[in-house]
Amino acid sequence: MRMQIMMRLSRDGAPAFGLLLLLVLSMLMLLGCIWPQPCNALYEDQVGMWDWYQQYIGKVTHAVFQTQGTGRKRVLVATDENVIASLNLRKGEILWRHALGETESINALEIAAGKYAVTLSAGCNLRAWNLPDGTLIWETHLQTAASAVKLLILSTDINNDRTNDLLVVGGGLVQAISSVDGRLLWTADLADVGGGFLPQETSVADKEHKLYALGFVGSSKLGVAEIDLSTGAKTQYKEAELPEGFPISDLLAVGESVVALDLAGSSIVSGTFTGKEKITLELTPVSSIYHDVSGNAQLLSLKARGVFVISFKDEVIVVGVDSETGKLDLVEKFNQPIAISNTLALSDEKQAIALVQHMDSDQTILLRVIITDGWKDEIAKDVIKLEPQRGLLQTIFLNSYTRTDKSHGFRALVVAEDDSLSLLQQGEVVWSREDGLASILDARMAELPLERAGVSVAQVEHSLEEWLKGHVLRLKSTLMLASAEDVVALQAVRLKNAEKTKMTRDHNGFRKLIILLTKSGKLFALHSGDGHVVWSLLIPALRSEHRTPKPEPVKLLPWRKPHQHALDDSPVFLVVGRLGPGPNAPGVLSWVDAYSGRELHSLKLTYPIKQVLPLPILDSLEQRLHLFVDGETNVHLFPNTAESLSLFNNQSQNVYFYDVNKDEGVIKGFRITDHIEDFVFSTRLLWSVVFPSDSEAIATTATRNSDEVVHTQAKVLGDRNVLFKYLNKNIVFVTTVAPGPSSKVGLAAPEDSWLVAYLIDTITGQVLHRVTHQDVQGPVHAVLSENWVIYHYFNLRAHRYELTVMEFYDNSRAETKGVLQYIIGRHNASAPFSSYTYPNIDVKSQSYFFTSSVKKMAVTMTARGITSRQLLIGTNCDQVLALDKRFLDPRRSINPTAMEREEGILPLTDGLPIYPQSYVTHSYRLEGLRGILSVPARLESPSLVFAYGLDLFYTRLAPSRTYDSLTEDFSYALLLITMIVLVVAIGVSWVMSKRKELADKWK
Amino acid sequence: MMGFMMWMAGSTVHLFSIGITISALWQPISALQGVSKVFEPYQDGRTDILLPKLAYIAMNVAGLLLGLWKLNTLGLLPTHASDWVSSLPPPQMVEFSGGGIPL
Repeated sequence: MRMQIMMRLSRDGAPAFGLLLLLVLSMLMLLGCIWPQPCNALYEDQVGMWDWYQQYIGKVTHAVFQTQGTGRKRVLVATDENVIASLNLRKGEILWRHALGETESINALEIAAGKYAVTLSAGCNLRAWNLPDGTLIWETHLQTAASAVKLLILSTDINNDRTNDLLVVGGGLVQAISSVDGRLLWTADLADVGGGFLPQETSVADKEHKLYALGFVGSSKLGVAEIDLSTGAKTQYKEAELPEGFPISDLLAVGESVVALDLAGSSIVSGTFTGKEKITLELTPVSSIYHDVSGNAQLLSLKARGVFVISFKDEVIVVGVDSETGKLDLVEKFNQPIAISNTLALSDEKQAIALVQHMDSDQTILLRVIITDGWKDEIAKDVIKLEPQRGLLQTIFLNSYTRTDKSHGFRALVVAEDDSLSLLQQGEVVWSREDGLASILDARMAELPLERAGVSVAQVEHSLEEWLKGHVLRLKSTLMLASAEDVVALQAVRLKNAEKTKMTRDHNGFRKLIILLTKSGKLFALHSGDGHVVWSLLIPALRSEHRTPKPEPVKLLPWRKPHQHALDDSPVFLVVGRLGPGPNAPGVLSWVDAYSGRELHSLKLTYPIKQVLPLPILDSLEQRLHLFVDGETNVHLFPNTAESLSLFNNQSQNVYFYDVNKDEGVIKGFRITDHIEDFVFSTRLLWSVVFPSDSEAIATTATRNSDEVVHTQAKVLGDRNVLFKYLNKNIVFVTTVAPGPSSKVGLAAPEDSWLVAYLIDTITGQVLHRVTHQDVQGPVHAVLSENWVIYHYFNLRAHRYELTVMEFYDNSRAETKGVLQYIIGRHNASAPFSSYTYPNIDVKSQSYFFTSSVKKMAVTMTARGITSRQLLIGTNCDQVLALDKRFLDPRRSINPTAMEREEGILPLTDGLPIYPQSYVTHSYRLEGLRGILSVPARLESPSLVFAYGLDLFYTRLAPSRTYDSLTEDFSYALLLITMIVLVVAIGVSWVMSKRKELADKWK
Repeated sequence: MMGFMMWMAGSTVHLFSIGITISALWQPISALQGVSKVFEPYQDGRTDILLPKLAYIAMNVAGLLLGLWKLNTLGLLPTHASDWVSSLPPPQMVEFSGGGIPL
């Protein structure tokens, strides 16, 4: 076993000759005797030792409370990550959770029949989940597929099964569904009642058993259709002319009245629609209700009797509607920013509503609960201090409970600007969840600060005691003397190892800070030991100001990685964002200190950022030079210092960039030409690769990770020949597939599908290699590392997924073969590499069947690149699989020679094996897997892996096993005892032999 | 005897073959170091010991060569280019390029 590892090591580059090796080998063999056998997978008791897993749900958009009855108090939530979850109201932990998938955006969430949670997703899928355990009870696929779909819980029973039923309104259809089994009871098509009537709003009159559907007819009329709830028959249809020149925009049903706002937000039309034959509409200018109109207005429904809300830029007003005449009058006004909750029925007559306003700072809020009748009666008022870095509250869901004295108490679920979810009750935050971590955009890792001198003695003694205790327990378990309690205690000691959550750098480089950028514009720093949040920052530069479009975070870049002389400085990260939606919005930059979690400074740019080029140049402060490409392909240099300018000017003639245009199917290469002004340079188009648009569409691109370390350029074969790896960093791997919408399996014919793979030099635009696969289709996933590329696609003829590997070798470097030339150092293998030299590439490739589809692919990184690599595959089941690169060796053949076997080449098989033990996520699933990040530790053998989707998972892998360190459970105590026993034995036997010698002499 | 042991040891690197090879190398070297000691009893001025001495040295050198040949068959002599380039670092890049799909 030890021998094999050594051989693998030597193949990867350790010198394989000399007497020195003999010594090392024999020592290793001795060591091998006392070394515990390493393993590929985890043992059961190792789970949680160096991995952790966290579950999140995303930004909550819908919430319903389930507090009645005897069961556990819970709240059901639906999120913008298309998750439905049930949370424990006391602690906030997840009771159950379902991720519905990317295309299933949740439109509505309600509780039906008192025992089901009903979701409407993708506009047409209605599902009922069992409340206690989240099992699916029934599922109905509806005809509607509109984006604006409403789910209504009726308070009447249609099909006489003693449970109230459901209505789905949208896309011109009204559908009634039984809440017991999801059966469709009736469908009413409203599209045929009048020319162009499009229902937008509904109003249910329970007592009359009627439903009113309201909508605009064309652009000049307003229509109301009346539907009988028990049969679905359209009983009446009325129309009313809108006033002249009233550009329609928004419409609300308030009880039995209709309210519509014009496009400019300056006038309102209102009228009642029930009873009378004709609807009479009345035009009211907004200025007559409320004088100080500022900014454009928006209608908001409150679902409260006789009132609705108009929200302006700075204010929010509540307007009452007279149910008889439809006349409007101002009820209340509030200043922005404010969040208004849903209406909560306290009794048949009384309704309450909660309002949240921020006080002087973002952190303190004022929560008021008001009775909606009259809007004056405040029944609860709390000043609550939130946790820092939450931002403004966005949404609030109100719920009540009955106190022991029969009065009403209130709890409120609030969603903040950072997408976090908190429960407020009795003036304090009961619990809080960082659900922004479900939508991570970018992830990086940073080093922790160095350990300082001056650690208090008490701490050390304590840890020494712990250390001893741990070792005694370990020794007991090794000698099989441990009792059941000891085993439990030992496991607790191992899991709660204080070493792993220390806030300083460790010798092996296992402890890191994981910096995460989320969709809400919040930056998190997680400790890699157990995943706790070290700090978080709602980036000030990425917060919206007064209803300007919300800035979007885009990318997280390491700006400064201190090492060598600047070790005492803290690392700095650069957050790149956009001041609004769309790729042409101007960019915004924010620099954040990774230790303190503070924004150092920020900059709003005047131009959009199309590309970011982190240059391989560092200035004297160890800041990395960055180039930002704007919309006119000019480049802007950062940091803006004279030093960086002079550093860049020395190198600028060798700086190039390329742009992949997926829509047009073109890759263009540019070079930096002139210095236009201060830090701006112009560029010139050098080359372009145009793919024929009728036969090829760009599917995916892959480049080498700029941080990747490769130990050697030579690959030594079993017969002691050398292959030189083609280690050009400036290459891009591009795959194109047959264009067309049919990328789904089963829709395309094999004859019409193909995949073309290109390897393109990004300096010269030269196509270094091109290969066509017939009868295959995307989606394609590719990973490019060292001198190889692996890509995944679907083979239509074989009906299986395939992984193809291509390895590139540089023949031009292999010209010098003489040993003497290498000994005296006269060879061309160490010459710098330029793309302008003639490339002479040898490509070896092989394809293998693979049983799983792929969501994401990555490769393990190690500190010096000696350890062999593992491919990390995010499977469709949201797990991460580690596959040894040696399975994907293009030199595998059916009968490998003895030399090749010695080298570790496996016999050729058509498929790749998936061992259950090679799932690095073991029993966990990472719902909605989005990314896999691998970074090296300081030690060579391990690689740290962080995978994220809705859930976060972190672990440590050792692709070639831990050959450079002892395992965690290595028993130092046993080793010590063995040595002591040996020394004593030597002493005793020495004395005994002396005595025997003496006795012999006396004979 | 030594040749037979070598043949028995085979040509793969393991504890036995390494031990044999080391002893095969060490024996002639130590013998050559002590060549004057071996011939000391016969150094009486009358006998010509130069020729036997040379023959002794030649035989030990032959033994040493045999050991070296064994070392080579084990693949432990740096006689191939691969032994000298196996830790050759990757070449420096003259140009730099970045970019990709626009943000």
